[in-house]
Amino acid sequence: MKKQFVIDEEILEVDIVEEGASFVLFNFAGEEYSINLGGQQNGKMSLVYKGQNHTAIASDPFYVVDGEEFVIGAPKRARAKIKSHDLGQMKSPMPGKILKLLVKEGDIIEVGTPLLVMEAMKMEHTIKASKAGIVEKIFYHEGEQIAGGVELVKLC
Amino acid sequence: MKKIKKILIANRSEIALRVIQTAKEMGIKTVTLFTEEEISLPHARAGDESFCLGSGPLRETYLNQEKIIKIAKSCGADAVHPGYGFLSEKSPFAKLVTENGLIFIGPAAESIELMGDKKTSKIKIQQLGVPSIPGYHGDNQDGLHLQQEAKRIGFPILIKASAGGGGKGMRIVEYETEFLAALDSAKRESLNAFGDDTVLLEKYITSPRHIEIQVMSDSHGNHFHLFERECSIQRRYQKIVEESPSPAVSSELRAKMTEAALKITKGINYLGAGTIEFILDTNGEFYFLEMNTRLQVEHPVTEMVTGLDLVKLQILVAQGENLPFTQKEIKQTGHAIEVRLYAENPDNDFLPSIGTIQKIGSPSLRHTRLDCGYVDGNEVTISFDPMLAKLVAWADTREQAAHKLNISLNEVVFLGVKTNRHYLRRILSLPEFLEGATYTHFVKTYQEKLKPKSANNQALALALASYLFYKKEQQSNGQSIDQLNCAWSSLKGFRNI
Repeated sequence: MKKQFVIDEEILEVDIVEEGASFVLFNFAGEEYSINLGGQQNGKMSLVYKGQNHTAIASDPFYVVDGEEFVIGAPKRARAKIKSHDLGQMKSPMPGKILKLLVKEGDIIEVGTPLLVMEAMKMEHTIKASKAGIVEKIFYHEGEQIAGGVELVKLC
Repeated sequence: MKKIKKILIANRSEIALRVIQTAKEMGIKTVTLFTEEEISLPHARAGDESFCLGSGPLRETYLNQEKIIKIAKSCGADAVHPGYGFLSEKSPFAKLVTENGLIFIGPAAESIELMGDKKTSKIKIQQLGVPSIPGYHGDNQDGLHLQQEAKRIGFPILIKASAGGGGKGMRIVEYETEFLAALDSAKRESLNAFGDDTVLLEKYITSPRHIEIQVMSDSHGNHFHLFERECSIQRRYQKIVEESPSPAVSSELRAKMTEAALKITKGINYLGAGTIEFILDTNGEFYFLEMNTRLQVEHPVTEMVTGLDLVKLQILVAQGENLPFTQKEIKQTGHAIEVRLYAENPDNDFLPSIGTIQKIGSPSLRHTRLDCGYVDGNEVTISFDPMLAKLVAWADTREQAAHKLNISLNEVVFLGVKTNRHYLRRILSLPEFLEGATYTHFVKTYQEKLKPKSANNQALALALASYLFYKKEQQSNGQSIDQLNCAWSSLKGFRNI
């Protein structure tokens, strides 16, 4: 059965041949993987592949195998996430305070133009333009406290 | 000599827990502080007693000197341990503590004041005959005047907040044309962080290493050093990898640097634990950078190579005791490396990250140490420093310590929050790190080499298998709960009786 998964925002297609409580067999990227579950407790598990043990830690949607961390989900949820990334708006990466606006409405900007300086966790961060355009609207003024993920600047 | 019976810890997170460890061993009671948003953090209730500082900005909580003194007195504490950061290097606080009849576990207020100001400290250091970096430490803070001074010293130049630390209010300026904009930004950051926008200028050394000497002095005129730490690898001017001994320090250089450090502690009649930071250039010349008059974040590496407990030594000297060793008896054995785990995204300019920590891993190898301020389920917010924990490994050689730390980083996951864990692994695996090419611009120099590589297919397949097994397990657990519900509903008639 062909199934899609999203690992770290990339869609992967896997052909699952067999899926049990402690054994899976699937084809992925031209290889066949036959993996056994050695044991599972509180999200900690041991996986056996080609006679070698691997440690995995799971706390959905985070999965760690031998120290490598992955975010895994079903495709539906992740597609919506990718969409919101595509809007091209300049958003605050986290809650903080606007320290200084470096552009004004009507300015022509290019990708990478510093738009404003914000302070979060006692450090200054410069927010740069992710696309080119003309600044149509700046939604906040200097000194204002802002939430994370809010649109800061609108381009036209 | 006065035995300390109860210590109020005027700090939070991992350093509060660290002080409690030693206090417990010594039979000393502890009092911890927390803010309303920290109620579920482990340090909140880790002391024998704990008090809530309320909520609001830091000046209302961890920086509120009067409030903290009041709590200390009301609960009968006889000493205050300031940890690092916050009030640890505020001389008025040290003064206030002693004026209220309590012991300040740290140096005299005069030492903090003298060494805390980058200008007065440099003047004192020059008097003592210890070299420092050419610069401008004057009172004229006019932008154009500072630009002239920068030209005199020669670019590249470093702008630093006079009251600063931790890289806040610090800028490197390569060209004169960029000077005024950088000055503006540095002053603004400095004003926000320290309430003071006075800056100083320094010649920027192109390939420097950051080498610091741990010192410890008692009140009977005994001044010791506990060897060096190299903390060259930094991002945003904050250390992320620290080690002892330094691969760049020969025994001859070590003798010179420790001698210079002791010249300072003797010269200012220092008390307690301190760190003298030096910049080492490629010619083996070293310059005094600053002195930190407190316990350092990276003190565990010194503890691991010397076998000493620095917090215990701090408490002993605060009680007026003699330090229980001679310089010759202090040995630097093996090699220790520490990494700082931060809630941040190294692949996006080290921007701090926030979120809920779902699960924290623990190291399993011998001679490893995790000093961590969080437990599963804790929230990482923007209110405090993004450092989550420190992971340290000790081994016979540097190579083995790096290897061990790398394995331990695999184990110490912080699921739920973006961290620099994998980035630190990439540093420890880099051949240049293993060869000891550790300069302060390491992170920038090897930027490309430190970028994440896409995972191989086997790792992806195993991750996918773990996902499938985990979902299956959850599903079967869910089913059993459903069955249980069914069982209850089938007993309906029975329950109605």
